Amino acid sequence: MNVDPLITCSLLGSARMATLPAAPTPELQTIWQAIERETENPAAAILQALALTRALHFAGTQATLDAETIAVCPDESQPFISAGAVQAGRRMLDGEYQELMPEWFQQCIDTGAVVPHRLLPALLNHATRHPQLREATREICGQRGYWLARRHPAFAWVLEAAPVDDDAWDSELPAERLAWLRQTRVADPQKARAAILAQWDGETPAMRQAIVQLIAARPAPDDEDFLESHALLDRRQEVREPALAGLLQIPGSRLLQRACGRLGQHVHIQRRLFRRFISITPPAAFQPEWTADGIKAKPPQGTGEKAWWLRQVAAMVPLAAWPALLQVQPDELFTLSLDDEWAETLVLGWIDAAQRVPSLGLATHALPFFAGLDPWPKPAPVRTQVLAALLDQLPVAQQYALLESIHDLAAPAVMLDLLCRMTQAPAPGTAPKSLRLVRSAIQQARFAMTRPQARALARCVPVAAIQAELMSLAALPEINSAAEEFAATLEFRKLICQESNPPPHPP
Amino acid sequence: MQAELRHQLGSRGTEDADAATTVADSWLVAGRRTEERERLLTSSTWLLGKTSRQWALVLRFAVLPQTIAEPWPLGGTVQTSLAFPLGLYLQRALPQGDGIISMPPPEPAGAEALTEILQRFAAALAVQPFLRSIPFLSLLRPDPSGTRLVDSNSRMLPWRCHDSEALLVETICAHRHTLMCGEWDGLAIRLLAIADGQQWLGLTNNPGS
Repeated sequence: MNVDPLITCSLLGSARMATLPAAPTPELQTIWQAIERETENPAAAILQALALTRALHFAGTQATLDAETIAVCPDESQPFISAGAVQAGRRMLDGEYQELMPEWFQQCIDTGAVVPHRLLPALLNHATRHPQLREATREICGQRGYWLARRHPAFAWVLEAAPVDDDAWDSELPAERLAWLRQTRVADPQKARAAILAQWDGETPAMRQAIVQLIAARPAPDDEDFLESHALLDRRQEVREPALAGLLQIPGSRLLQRACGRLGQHVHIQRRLFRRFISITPPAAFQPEWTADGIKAKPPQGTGEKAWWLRQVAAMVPLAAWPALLQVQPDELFTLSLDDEWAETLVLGWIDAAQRVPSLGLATHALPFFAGLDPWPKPAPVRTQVLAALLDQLPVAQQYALLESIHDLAAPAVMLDLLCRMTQAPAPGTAPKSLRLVRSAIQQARFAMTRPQARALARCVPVAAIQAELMSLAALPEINSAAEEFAATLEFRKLICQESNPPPHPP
Repeated sequence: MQAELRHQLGSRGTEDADAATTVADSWLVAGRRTEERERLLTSSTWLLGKTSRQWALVLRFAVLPQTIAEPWPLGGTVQTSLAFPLGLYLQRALPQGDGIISMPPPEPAGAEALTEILQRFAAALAVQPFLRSIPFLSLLRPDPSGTRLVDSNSRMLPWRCHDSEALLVETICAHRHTLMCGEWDGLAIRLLAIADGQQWLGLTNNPGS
């Protein structure tokens, strides 16, 4: 409800007003009288009075005292990336050529520089949405990035790899606790294990999952007891599954021994004429003790019980353990014939095993087998996903070497899908078949490449070959939209690479 | 009264220039905001005279889809004369040529404490009660809540901004007092630019560029 008498006068009309309402403060008393004395028009008098009241109100603000203090961020010890690199980064953060972000990050990391502070909020927001960029972001966010992460829970992931104080395990920030765990597992693994056990019962489900994932990424033999007696018994599948993967990576773990022993009862090598093949006998009945190892009794709809159990029993043994189990060489495993009736089930088990523990997936041997597998089993995950998980275990040079070796086995569409996932280019001259395929896909309409695919494929061109690639595109009589996008992306890559060369400027 | 109205509306009539006070100085291009209303683009650039300590508002207009060509980059220093049309409170100015531009690093000369800004605003309102806001240059930092700006005397005033701007300013300041240009309208501060190391960064258009 309006109580200002001047506003009331304005609303009701000045004709009803005999005199101006009283001045709101003593300071305005004199000028109020002057308005009444010198202004004949009552409407003008009200407006003048209102203007003065407003001025008094606005001019009367007082600055209050701030008593709160927080830690000041220390100065950057590293230089900032060049202005050109900032500009390129800004364009990518605004949505252009985001496929090239990993390369831009790498260029920044190689210069040993950090991003200027004005770019940090956008960078941290982007990496919050794209977890695969977080590790690189931590390297170029500088002191300011860590300072900001301590104040904003959304950026707490930055702290997961930061050096932390010895009491950080008792902190309320999950990221700081995980940083402590990562740090202490290296410095004093015994202490880290004791700390986990002491608080395990009170941990939130999300924290339990994060702890087990951290351990499963690099499990040590001494982690076996915790993983088997606590994590594997957790109510949540999200905790049990990484625990299982972690235990299977520990050489000679009890779970691995049980898994190998179980599988050994159902598969073995037999000789038929001059050929060796894998003879398969599916489990006749489900053993109740299998449940504790994560094997499920009830099959999904459309799958027989025996096939379902066999698939899980096979998937429980990492591919790297199969040669010893069957007493064959690793390069021999995938050339052996399979018992016809259960061949697809066993292959499904192999695929699941490769997905569960890709680090023990015998990538160099399994990848050509999976790439050439025809038909691909229907109940299996997408082929590219399986191949990519195995490829990711290898350094870039080996990835391209493997892609060259499966070039004639895999369908062009599969090869192109895999090439689209490559985030780095090969060394010049090391991947001629892959580059020929990329060139064909870009230049020939029958491949129907989309613009995002064209941008992704542009990452496969070695930096030294970018100019030649652009010249060959320019020489084409006609250019499609994918080729246009491919060329534009190559131009942008050239810019990124040029910008990493000038010396960085100081902070 | 007519002259004051023209002064407020931003007329560029020749009579304004005729009846004006001219100030020659080295002007810091301290802040800029561009607004669009009914397809009319209005660019408001705040200049601060290094010697005269006079603030000047230069308005430029364009009708969409045209854009405004800004001859003076934000953070630059322009050696030129400005004509201030007569009015109750001198603020609006007409450039007498594009002048000579240099890009020195941001320096806090001319920075005011918040109480000084309030006093200047009160004095300006006494002269021109319809004044909407005044510009300022000050060393400030956001408070921990991100809703107020604090000066080096620990005095603070409300700050009006979007979340993205609050995060950007917090990141650049990192709890240190940092040179900023903004406007005070009697209720809240609106920031226009901030010094990020050796650069002057606009906050209202394309932040982070």
